[in-house]
Amino acid sequence: MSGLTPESGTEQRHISTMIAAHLQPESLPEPEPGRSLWQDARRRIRQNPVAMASFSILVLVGIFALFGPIFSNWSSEDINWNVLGNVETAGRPALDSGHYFGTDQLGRDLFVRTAHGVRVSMMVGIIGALIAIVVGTLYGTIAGYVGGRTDNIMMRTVDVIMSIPYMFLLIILLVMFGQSILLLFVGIGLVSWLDMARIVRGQTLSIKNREFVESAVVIGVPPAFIILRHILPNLVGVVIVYATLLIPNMIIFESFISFLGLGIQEPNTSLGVLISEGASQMQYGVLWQLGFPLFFFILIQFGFFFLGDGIRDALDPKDRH
Amino acid sequence: MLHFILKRTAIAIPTILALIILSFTLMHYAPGSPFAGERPLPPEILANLEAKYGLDRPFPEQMARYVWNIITEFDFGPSYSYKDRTVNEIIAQGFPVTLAYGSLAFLVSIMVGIALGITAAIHRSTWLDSLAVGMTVGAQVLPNFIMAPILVLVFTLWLGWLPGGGWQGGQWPYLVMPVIALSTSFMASIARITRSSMIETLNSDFILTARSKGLPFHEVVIRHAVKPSMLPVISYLGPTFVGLITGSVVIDIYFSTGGIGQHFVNAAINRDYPLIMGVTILTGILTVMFNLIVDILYVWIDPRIRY
Amino acid sequence: MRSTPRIGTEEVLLSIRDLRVTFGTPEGQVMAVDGTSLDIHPGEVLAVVGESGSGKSQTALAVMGLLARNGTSEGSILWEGREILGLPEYQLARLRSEEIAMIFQNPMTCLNPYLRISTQMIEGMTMNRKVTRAQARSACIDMLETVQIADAANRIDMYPHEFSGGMLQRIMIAMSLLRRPRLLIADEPTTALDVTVQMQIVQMLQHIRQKYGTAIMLITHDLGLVASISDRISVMYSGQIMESGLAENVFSSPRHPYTQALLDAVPRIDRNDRKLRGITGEPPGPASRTSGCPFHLRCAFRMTSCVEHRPDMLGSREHAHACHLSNET
Repeated sequence: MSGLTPESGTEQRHISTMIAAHLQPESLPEPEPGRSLWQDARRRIRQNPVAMASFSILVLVGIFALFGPIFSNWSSEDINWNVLGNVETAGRPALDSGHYFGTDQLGRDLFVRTAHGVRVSMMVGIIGALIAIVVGTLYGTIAGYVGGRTDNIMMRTVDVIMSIPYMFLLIILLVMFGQSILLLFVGIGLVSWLDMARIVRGQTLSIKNREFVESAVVIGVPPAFIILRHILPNLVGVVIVYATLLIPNMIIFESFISFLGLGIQEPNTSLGVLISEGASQMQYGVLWQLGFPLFFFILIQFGFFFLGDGIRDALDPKDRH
Repeated sequence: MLHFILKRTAIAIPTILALIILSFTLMHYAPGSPFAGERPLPPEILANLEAKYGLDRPFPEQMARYVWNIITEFDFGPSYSYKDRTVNEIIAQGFPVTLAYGSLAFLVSIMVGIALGITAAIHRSTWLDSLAVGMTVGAQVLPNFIMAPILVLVFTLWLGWLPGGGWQGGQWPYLVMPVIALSTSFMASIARITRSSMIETLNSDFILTARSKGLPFHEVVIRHAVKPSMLPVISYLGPTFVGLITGSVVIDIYFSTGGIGQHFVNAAINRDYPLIMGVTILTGILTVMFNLIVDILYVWIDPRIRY
Repeated sequence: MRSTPRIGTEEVLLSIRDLRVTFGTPEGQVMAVDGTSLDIHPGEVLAVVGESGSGKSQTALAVMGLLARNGTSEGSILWEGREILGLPEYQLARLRSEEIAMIFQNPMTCLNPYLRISTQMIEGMTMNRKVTRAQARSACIDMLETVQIADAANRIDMYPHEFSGGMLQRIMIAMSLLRRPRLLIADEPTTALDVTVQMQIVQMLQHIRQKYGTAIMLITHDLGLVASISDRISVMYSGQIMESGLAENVFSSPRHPYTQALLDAVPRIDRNDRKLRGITGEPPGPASRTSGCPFHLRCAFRMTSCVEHRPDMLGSREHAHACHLSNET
């Protein structure tokens, strides 16, 4: 298909240009003509109370994570020596002690540490989703657009990687090369893009066969330009939806590794680390150590879940009922 | 059909081989020696140890021998950290435990998930549907490492009904929490998938035809809607399987059940390479075989796919 | 070739009176059928003609009790004089199983792709356990032969995707006739098929009617199709009946401007001018029903009364129509 050149005949080229011109509004959602699609979506999502509530909650959680520590006299590493050894009573959440969320078993302020953990977890989630967007979209678009043998090999590779219990491989890597945030990101990057690649490939296949792409091919637009100009803009919707739903998954992923003690290391912390620490202490009557991190974990999970759902509904209204 | 099975098997075998070779290579070039302890060993003892485990041989020979032993005898060699025990013995001890609660969790996820999904779909937009959707959304944000402490908190610390850990040969009080903790999030995903695919199926033309024939609604659902709406669920069984295996690590550690996951993490921390490889390759083979079964099931259900 | 319809008799199989079908949507109530009345007599073919969105399919689904879950119907539907609107589901199911059958527009999607034809045909018969599987199976094969499926004994065990669209529609017809229904509702049975196959299906319906005496409610937008087999015609527009009567009356002397325009739009080989005539404008969607005559926006003979009042249906059973224009003269 891409072998066709503009020399295929001037008359045909003329007709195709006309076809292309006719179909252009569909292929260019970003500048002037496509405005309605995105405005429509924005209007619909504003009218969706669940999605808007989720969005507000996420924003509030974000503000808490970034600016919360300002309102505390403690830093995430300070140890309150007065509390140490007597955490069950002296380390309780209280306003007058300045430990709004109480302290952890080492007498460190949980309010600040929770804010810190939320920040790290959110960052992991967002970076994981970004890796998935870049790698997965590129991989999926190429596989879907080139098609044939290349597609077959590329997607088989994805299948093979998926059939490996990746968590085991990641744990091996972490043990072999030592635990570091960098390696954690490498590990997350290794697995997060797989589903995205599959979804994007499927979408690309269906877009590829639409008339506006065919007419672009016929008039000899180079494949790279077609991918950039015609395919990618049409993928934006599905990529955004999936990325929103991927962030909470990545947070779970990181928390899982941290729960096993293989992820984020001291003095850094994450929600997974805090939950793990809280869970190991809960029989000693210090439930707040589990409660606060868990609360934020669940809040973030629900927030992204319903926001993603809302975005999907907004972009694909016919799917709503 | 037979042709398809053969073809899929032909793809599965190189996948397993690639997995074995990949993990062996990774292990071989991994930094850090399994024998590096608190203080360095004298060189002659180290040489003896290496000779004993065949580590003085050239890399291709080591790998060939390793692969050969797996293929012919399913033998993963001796363990480094547990002296005088082979990897096979350790796996034979831990695997039945993992298999017991893992397969139970698998069954619970599928059966409860499908039942919940179908109930929600056929009572769509009623309180029953809202309840089911609410439950699944709630359960989906509760992965096993969150569920486990919550369950222990409620059923062990507060109510005192169930033991907080241990195995005791798999008596049911020791099984309940591992199975629930492991299955909750997968059950939720399966319920969601079932619900949406059932709703889609119930909107298809052939359901209208079936109803126009005068079949009662429950018969329409059983005869016409269940089979097609199971296809997406079947595709999700592969990821569920992998997820359950991965989750067993958390279960084994949190509930001290003594399954294969516990050995895996211990092996990883002790740099017991043969054991790590053994567990990874075993689960890899199981996953590949499971996916093969799922693929065959898929083709068997959908008469339109013919290879 | 038309068999004599028993129009003079009082016997009415199905009688629809002032049927209104509404759908609740997020944008509000949408009225798909707006006061439709129809009669079908035993053994006759009634063609319900109209553009898409005119409410003909929803009328049929309301009769079957198979409206989408957000749909409600009001008015009256009498089956042999008995009210069936609002019957409990199990009684409706029984009615569908024994008295009224229905076939649909797209045979490719109307058969379950995951089940063999035999399974799908037999299940409707063995349901009340009056026949054995073997008896049902041989009855199904007979019926498939009636609709001219060659090698039916073997092909009955094939899957839907192994047949062509025309064959599937014949299978659908065979399946619908297994319980010898008194009425067969055919909802656009030829629309999804190749032109060459369309006539086959119509002839098949004609054949069925002669062989079993089944009354047929043929829903279509294709006037050409209707001309050859229907005894009576009802023309629907925007959820209402515009004109109805014996087929020859409606065809030879259409009274409603809409029917006239519709007939005019059919290209005819015996007419000299080769120009295609359409009806200007768009039919109003179900969301925008008007208070007056629904056709007034597109009507060439519009008067002020058309905008204000809905015209009554006037005339006899042989020929009636709803239009202010001729009602006044």
